[in-house]
Amino acid sequence: MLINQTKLTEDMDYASRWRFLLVALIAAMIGLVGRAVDLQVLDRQFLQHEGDMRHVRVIPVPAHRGRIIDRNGELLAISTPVKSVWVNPKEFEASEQELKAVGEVLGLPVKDIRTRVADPSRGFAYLKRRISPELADQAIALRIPGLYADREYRRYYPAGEVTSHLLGFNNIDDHGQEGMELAYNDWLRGVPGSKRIIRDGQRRIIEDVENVRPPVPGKDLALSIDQRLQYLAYRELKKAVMHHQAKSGSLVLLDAQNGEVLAMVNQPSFNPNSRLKLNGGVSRNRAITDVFEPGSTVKPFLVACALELGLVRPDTIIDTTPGQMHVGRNVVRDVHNYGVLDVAHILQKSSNVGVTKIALSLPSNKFWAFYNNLGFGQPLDTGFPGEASGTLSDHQGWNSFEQATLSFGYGLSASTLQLGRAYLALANEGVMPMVGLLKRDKPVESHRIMSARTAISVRTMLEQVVTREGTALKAEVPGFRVAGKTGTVKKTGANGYEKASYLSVFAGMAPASKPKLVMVVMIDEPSAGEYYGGAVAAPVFSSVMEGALRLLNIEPDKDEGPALITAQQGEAAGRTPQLARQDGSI
Amino acid sequence: MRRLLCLLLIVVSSALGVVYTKYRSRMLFVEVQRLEQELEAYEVEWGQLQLEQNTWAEHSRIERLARSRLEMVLPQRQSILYIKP
Repeated sequence: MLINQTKLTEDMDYASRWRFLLVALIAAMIGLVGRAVDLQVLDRQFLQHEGDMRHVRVIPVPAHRGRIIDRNGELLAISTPVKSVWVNPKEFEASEQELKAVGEVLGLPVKDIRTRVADPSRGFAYLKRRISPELADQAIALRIPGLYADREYRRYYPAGEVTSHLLGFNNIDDHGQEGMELAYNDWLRGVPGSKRIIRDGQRRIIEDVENVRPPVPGKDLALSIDQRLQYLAYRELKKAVMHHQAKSGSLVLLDAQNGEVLAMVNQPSFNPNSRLKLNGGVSRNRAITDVFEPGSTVKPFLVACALELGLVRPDTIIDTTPGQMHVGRNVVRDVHNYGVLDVAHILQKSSNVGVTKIALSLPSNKFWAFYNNLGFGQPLDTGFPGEASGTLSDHQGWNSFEQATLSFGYGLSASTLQLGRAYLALANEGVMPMVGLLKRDKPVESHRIMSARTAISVRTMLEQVVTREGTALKAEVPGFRVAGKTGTVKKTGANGYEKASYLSVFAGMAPASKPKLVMVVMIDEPSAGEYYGGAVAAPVFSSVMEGALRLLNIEPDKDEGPALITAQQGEAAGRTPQLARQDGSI
Repeated sequence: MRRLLCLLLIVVSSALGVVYTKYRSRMLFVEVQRLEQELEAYEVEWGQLQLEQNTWAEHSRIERLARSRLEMVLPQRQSILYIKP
């Protein structure tokens, strides 16, 4: 009985425990299922997003920057893929030996690597940027945790210092900083793409999920430059600047008919492929950014203005004795007393007194308008960064001495390219086209500055400059008629015009019968003795022009007897031109 | 019962299909990556070849070789003959 009772109570106890356990289990299950529903259904988006954030990344894909080529398709600048090696200091783990191996491959001292990986709070540090892909692959092949390589592009300039001013350069992130690289950065740059990837816990890419946006490569830029002429001009200018121990120099060579810049070089220059020591003095494209007083090289324009207004004729006689004259309180001087000259000889001898007399007879507003139309004080609109417009003061404030100084090129300033642009008007029968640095496929805007008759007449006078009697015999080009004008300009310093510091300038064109090329050479402070434009700048003009005319296959216009024959003559005589030539006597 | 078996068969075959396509996509992905790397290598080579060609064709080098090795000279103005068409 007793036993039975205990058994009964035991049974009862177990039943309630059993029920309790059952309820607890059901509650736990409901809890689990509820949590699962909560995570899988209610919070799903949030959690998935969090997961993606840890593993799925959108990474940029660099775009290829466009090339820069010259007018004939020669390569001037190109981007080639390189690799940048970086470390994640948080993961970086390398033995002494491995460190040494990495240092050897990358050419870095072990100490440097240690300092870069020292800070474990950082997740990223470059070890070495822009090295050849092979080297980077070698480094990665060491399989050191935390060492990675990314693809980037590096810019190369095959022509080096010959084109450095014109092209400029990019910064380490491949954005244009100077020159055409900066001016046409958007055109060249292209649009970086992006792709989505999945990374594992060690940030290794385990899967490319999709291309979000493929990179759009940049477009090529074709310049108006002719690399052959650029090289020739650079070589000759450098030679002259070194020979005359000058401070700097610029040269521009323009297509006379459409104003394209065929060559533009400066001294001193720099190597754009490794620019360790670079300052503004070396990297400036002086031909566009620096202005100077053009001196006697503007005299042809004064004469053109007077001819245009009908105030003088080429044979008008002007008395320049005694070689100096008073204008207001100042004195205008010639180098010699040239006596009585006609207008053509005033240009030939470059007489300051002669041009002053002509200038003082001109109405100042017409005079100013003529210079203004020629682009003095006007922007070039080439889009080149840092382009200078020079100055030309307004005629309202002119006194007679200022008007006189403008006639021989003081009191106004222009860059080498601006001076070249003004000479285009003389070369192109009075019509001045816009100058530009890009290759053109259609004619550009141009303005008539003077009548064709005036332009031709001034050109004929300028041919007399390049003779034994003129100031620039050394600008002669064998076989071609050359028209041009020298300039020897006193430089201004802190105390006004300085005594022994000059600019030598020569501006000219060839062939003079129908000019194809216009060139301006400017050499700053030649200090080896000679400083006259005819002695320093004119020889550069001659050698560059000779080569350029030959390279461009321009036929000579100077009549030199039997050297120029027609094909018909040769064929009619039934023999080769060489034979015909041998018969001819020179 | 037969219908259930039939459904089971379909489910299993579809599962196998998924496995297979996943495998295929992995293989193709590997292939794509390989090709991309190859393309990159070619791009590198193309850039280097362009640069190399440019270096060989550099004007100063050609002029130097023409003058020294081939003993070429610029003809004098008097010895040039121009033929007009």
